[in-house]
Amino acid sequence: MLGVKFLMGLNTIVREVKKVLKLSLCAVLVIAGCGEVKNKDEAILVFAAASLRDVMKEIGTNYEQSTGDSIVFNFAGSNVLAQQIEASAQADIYLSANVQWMDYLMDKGLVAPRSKKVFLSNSLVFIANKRSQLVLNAPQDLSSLSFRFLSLGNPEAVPAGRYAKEYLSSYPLDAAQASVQPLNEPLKKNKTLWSSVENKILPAPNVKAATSMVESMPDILGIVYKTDALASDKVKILFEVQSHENNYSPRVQYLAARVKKSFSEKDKSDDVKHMRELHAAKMNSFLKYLLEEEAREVFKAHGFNTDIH
Amino acid sequence: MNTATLDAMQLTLQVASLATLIILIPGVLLAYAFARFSFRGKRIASAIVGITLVLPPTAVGYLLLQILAADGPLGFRTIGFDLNILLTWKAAVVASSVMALPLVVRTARVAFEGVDPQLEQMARTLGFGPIKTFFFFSLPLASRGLIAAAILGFTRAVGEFGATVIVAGNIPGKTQTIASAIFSAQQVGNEKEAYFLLGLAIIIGFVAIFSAETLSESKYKN
Repeated sequence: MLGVKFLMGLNTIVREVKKVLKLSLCAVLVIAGCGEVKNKDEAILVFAAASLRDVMKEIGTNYEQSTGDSIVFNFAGSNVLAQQIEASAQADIYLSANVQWMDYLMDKGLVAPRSKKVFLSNSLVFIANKRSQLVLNAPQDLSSLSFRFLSLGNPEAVPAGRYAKEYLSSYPLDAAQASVQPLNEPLKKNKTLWSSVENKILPAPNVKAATSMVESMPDILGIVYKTDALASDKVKILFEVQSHENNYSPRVQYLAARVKKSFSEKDKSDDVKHMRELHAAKMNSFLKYLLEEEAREVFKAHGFNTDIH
Repeated sequence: MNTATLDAMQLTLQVASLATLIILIPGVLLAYAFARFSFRGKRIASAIVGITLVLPPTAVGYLLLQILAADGPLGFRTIGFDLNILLTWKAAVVASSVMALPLVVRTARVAFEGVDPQLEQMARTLGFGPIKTFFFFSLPLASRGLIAAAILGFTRAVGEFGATVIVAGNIPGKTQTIASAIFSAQQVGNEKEAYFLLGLAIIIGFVAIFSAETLSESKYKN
């Protein structure tokens, strides 16, 4: 008798467990089903150049507090972000540290052309470890200076590295040469500052990584953005490249744009459409916010230049 | 294929070979100790040796960087002279060795455990000392498994990226290995080079795993 009761009890338990399992399975399916749309609706996913890390975190927090919208960042070299956006359009907004990678995505039809705008500029600086004895009065001195490595963002891809390479390769080794040689005539390869340091280049995956190499070792020089140097208390600025110093100075510009999304047929219901419109409005208002006074104050405080014209 | 790619190929093979040579002897001795003896702290020792197998390679790289950096325990400010390891090919060897050691020890340990201890005891009763027994009996009997251990260690060293890129950097022609060259090719968007390197990595990996499998299989057939 006791055995039968026990078995019946067991049976009820099994039935209850099954019910719970079924319910949780339903819940999982519902959550999974909504997840995609809901997530997209909730947060704005911003893919931002590594050099914007500190400042955008602050701006993101400010924006979240004033609007209630949430912002999620993915920081990496602009080249890495462009490759990621090309592979899968997860991002909502792309903030690039140079025009080339923005154009790369634009050519592939992956960003909305009309949303594109220049919103910041920056300058290049030569840096060294705080404990280093290295002195650099002018860029030309680089060729005679004794240092182990020149830390840059990968000069083939990372914007900061590209700017640095552009700058050094247009700089003649002999400054007097500059006045003699017309600038529109390409300099011979072996005569530029770049060729004199080419074998000392230490390429990093992004400009923050290039800065941290200089932070951790005393005999390494670096060329990074002024804002990265200011953000680090372990490096000192040896020389700042003035943006209009001469014709070699690259224009370091940051561009923002909305990433285009492709939607499948099944997503064309009115509900989804409505959500998408809401989301697009949020993205646009964030892009607009980047140019507003409140954001500009933060950018300036971090050493960026907001006068872009 | 540019010279940097060729350099990466050459450097990878050199670094992996050197790392394998460096860890093989201590690895085999450790494996034998773990397989044959019981001693105080054996589990802890085994866990310490094996930990890089489960740690993220970047964590190991960061740890090595802190150790070798100027102010670290092996930095020049601490020991008085510069070992000159960081950002050179030597750093790649250090990183690969640390990352490949546990795989060598584990595989070699299994090889020793596969040797019948009675055979070793017989050798001892025939008058062979413990060292002679190790060299003339244990080592030859486990040899196939030990070669497999070396091959696996070698492949682990070939594939090492996370720790290497932190301590050795990714300097084309100097410290760039196949693994870090693939990373660079992807970041730059150079598909051609990435595919070439990918093919290379697959060939090296396949040959190595295939020979390791062949060796461990024929062991049981004998």
